[in-house]
Amino acid sequence: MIMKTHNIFFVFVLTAISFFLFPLSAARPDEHSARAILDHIDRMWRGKSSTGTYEMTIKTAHWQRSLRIRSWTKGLDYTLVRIEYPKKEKGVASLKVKNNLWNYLPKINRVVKVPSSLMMGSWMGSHFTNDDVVKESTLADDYHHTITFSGSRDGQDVYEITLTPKEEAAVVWGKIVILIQQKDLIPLSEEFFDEQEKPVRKIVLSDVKTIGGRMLPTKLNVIPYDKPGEFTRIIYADLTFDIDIADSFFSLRTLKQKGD
Amino acid sequence: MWLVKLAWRNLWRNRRRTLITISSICFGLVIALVFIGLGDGTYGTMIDSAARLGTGHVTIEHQRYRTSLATRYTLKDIRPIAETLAGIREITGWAPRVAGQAMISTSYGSVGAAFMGVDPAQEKENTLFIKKMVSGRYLKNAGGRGAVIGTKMAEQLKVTVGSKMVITANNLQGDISAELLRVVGIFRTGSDMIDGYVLQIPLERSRKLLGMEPEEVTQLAVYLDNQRQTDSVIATLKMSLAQVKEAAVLSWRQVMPELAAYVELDGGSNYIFQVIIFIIIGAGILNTILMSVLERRYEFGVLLCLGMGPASLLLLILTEAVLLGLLGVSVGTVLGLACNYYFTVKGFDLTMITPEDMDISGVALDPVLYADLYMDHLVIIVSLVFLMVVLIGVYPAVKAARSVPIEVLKKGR
Amino acid sequence: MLVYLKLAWRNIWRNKRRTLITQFSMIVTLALMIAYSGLVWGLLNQMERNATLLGPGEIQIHVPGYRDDRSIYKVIDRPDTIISSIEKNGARAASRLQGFGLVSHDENSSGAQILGIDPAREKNVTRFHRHLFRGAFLAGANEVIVGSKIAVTLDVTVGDELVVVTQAADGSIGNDIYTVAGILNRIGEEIDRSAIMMSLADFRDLFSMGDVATEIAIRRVHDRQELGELRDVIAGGIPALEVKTWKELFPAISDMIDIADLSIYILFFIVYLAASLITLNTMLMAVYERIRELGIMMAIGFRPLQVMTLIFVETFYLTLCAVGAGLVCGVGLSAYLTRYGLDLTSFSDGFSFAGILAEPHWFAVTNAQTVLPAAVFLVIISFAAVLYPALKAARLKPLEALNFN
Repeated sequence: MIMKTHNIFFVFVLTAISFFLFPLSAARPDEHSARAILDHIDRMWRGKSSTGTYEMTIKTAHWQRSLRIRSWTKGLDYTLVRIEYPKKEKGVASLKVKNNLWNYLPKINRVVKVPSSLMMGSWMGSHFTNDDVVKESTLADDYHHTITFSGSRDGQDVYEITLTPKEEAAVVWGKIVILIQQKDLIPLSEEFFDEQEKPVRKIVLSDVKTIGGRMLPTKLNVIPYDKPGEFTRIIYADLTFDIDIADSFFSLRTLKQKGD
Repeated sequence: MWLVKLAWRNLWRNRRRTLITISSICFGLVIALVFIGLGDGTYGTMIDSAARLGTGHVTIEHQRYRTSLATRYTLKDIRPIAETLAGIREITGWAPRVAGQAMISTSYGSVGAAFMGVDPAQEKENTLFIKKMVSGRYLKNAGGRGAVIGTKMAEQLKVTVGSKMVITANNLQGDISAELLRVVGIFRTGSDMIDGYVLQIPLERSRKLLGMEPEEVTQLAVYLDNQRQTDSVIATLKMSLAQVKEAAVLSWRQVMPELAAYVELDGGSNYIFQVIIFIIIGAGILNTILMSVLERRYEFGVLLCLGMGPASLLLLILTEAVLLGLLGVSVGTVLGLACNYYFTVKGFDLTMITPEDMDISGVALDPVLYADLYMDHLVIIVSLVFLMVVLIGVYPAVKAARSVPIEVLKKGR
Repeated sequence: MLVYLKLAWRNIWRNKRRTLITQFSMIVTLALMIAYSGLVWGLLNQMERNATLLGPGEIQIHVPGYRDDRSIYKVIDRPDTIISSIEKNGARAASRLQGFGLVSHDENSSGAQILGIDPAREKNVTRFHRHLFRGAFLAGANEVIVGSKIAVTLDVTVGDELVVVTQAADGSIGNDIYTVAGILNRIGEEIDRSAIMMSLADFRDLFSMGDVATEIAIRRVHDRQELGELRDVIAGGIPALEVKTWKELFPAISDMIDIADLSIYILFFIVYLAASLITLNTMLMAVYERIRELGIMMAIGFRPLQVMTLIFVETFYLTLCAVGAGLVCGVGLSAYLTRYGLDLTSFSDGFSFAGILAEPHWFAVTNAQTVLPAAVFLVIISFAAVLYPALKAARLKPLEALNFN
């Protein structure tokens, strides 16, 4: 409901992307332990930046809408997101600097700081939850990971990595199961379970294309199990990595610009 | 002395009337004592409950905290304050508290909440939450990750004992911080607000969440043996803590003004009710005494003729009134105290007619009323009733003393 | 018969003093009972008024299922048509909209219940406009009224700017700036902590909604009208919607008022008991004093039944006068309290009891309900009290009566 969790989405995306940022011609599949895969990704990902445009479609029981969004990220500390379409919301933007969140509302020309105690609900009504964003922790830091399955499923050779939260990790999930294509180490899906191992939601990645110089899934679909028929879908239009972008770009001033 | 003997015999000559008068006095006194006793007991219980569920009979906090409730107004080091508290006899215990607003999330959603970081060791004797547990247990370890939440919150987040939750808040530096918690117990106070909005977590965990120093707190809740001593303890504390910068000492009345308002108002209406009863009964007693004097006019006439001075006559009638008063008051006091005792032990049970969850501005009400008559109230009421009886006797006494003997004798009966 | 009447009357006034004394306590008792009833009924009325007029209204209309989750999608279409038909039925109604939002002022923010109201109509149904602590009720566009506690949380005062962000009904981000026009007094926890009121038009803009309402609140024009009947009449016209009285919607509050009712009856009972005791006492003595006199009457030929009749007629006169005077004093006192009330504000401020505002200034009501029962009761008790001694007197042999006492 309330716009607070733009970052959720972003960190999520970053984390998701982090999976596919590694050389295609890496070591042979069986040398990839879970830790190795995640470490590799983390190492490759840290300190990098990106900018891109994507379309997000949300369908709920009462409405369906599509937004075109432009984003800039640097490391895990800085994120700027801006809506470019539809016209009604053009210019609405969110800025995350470390653990702080601000929203800009162009219609009233005001910046609203989002307090943690109110980050209820999702960003823009999407199915991303707050847990996805507030902690910028990576999956590697907060979870134990093991490869629980290596073999063929649905005609593909896949790795299944199961993540279980570490003792003191401040995360709401009981378990996360990630399915990765062995061939290209491209993630196929991510499923989230509560502590009783009941599945709560699933993210499906597909449409692998060359984008920003890499082979990546360009479509992410979030499906909540408790709300049948609803989904949030993100399709990347373009993505550029390792751009030259200063920390100072991520400021309230940039937040307030109405966009290119 | 003979006056007293005569007065006594006079009273018992008309046994019926005397008994009726005494029973009126008795009735009024018993009503008064029972109502005041129940009132005192109920208010006392409510205040104690509210204090134990909230921030104590006396609260010590940063002087700016109350007006803005911002987490950054803290007491940096409680050690010097703790020393002072140890030296005051009326204080039965105290507990450090860290308070703030946060979001609690689970796999199924999030709610906004107010959290209280507490030290279980120091809460054990004082807090009511322990008694209101419906499942699980209370917190044990000040450094742990346990949390106790209310039934309503448990419903909203779809959690039970053992479930995990993530608490997220803005810390003192303004950054967002999060900690993992596990539900160890679920309580039910009967107040929707507390059951749906408040949770208790270990003190050190809350300090970590907010980025506080090891001895820093938001407030100190101080518990007293007897809530009536609140004002005197506050006066003492204010003096002793004068050199602790920026510390404010507040009474429960300032922290919970609505509760204070209820107690005052209900007390006020109780008082009015008593006055009405007293007037009604007083009128009846006046009636009795006056009648008794009037119908004995012939007899008084004779006495006056025989040489008894008007002053003696006046005294005689006053003595009768005094004796009536003493008798009525004694029996009434005994009965009144007996009723109060019964209600102190057994309570006045209203559970039949009260709905489930009643509260006064967020403080849950116990449907069983217990009496607790304060000594000074007892003394006041009994004295007032006695005084009233004697005063009522004055008019008839004066009237009788003034009557001219011849006139009376002429008129006969 | 005439003889009795004359004799009885003369008997009474022969001993003026005794008669007056007897009547004195009866008059005081009656007057106090009337005044007390008045105060107590007044208080109950006030509580009921506050329960309804500072919140839900007396009757509400919703879409079935709305109350389970207060979803902004369960709305009543074209509420104005419903409202005009209600007004034709002789009641007052107002539409409302309710949603959730984030409100902020400078660096402070809070979640809030955003309430869209029809400023003009709402005044006819509830009394919020009379409970403004500061400022004025909604007048212009983009104005809001803020609850007392949330005003403190946000640190706003009249004239300040408030930013409101919500998720609109079409999923987009609703946002706008409003000016604080007024701050409410303490009303009840929920409203104090989380209510932000704006006009229906502003709400519809913010939430991208059309000509709909989440709730219609209704109030009677005449308090004597039976609430249940009105509900049925209204419900008949809109079978698809749910129409309920406030008692059905908030049984806990209704129960609580009933409890207050009950405790008041208990108190009444005690006051009546005291009054009975005194009256009994009084009448008893009145008869016993005169047994000797009655004995003489019987000695000269009055039959027992005649003596009893005489006593009863005397009692009748006595009571008549006492009740008359008692009524005058009682109604007078009650009327004074109805006008000026009993001001207990020096004792305490208001507070909320189970969510209902209790004000410290009590007004009595004066009507048949407060006056008649007390008077009737007094008469009954008086006669009952006389019965025993009258019988006893009638049964005595004249000699015994002469030597009685």
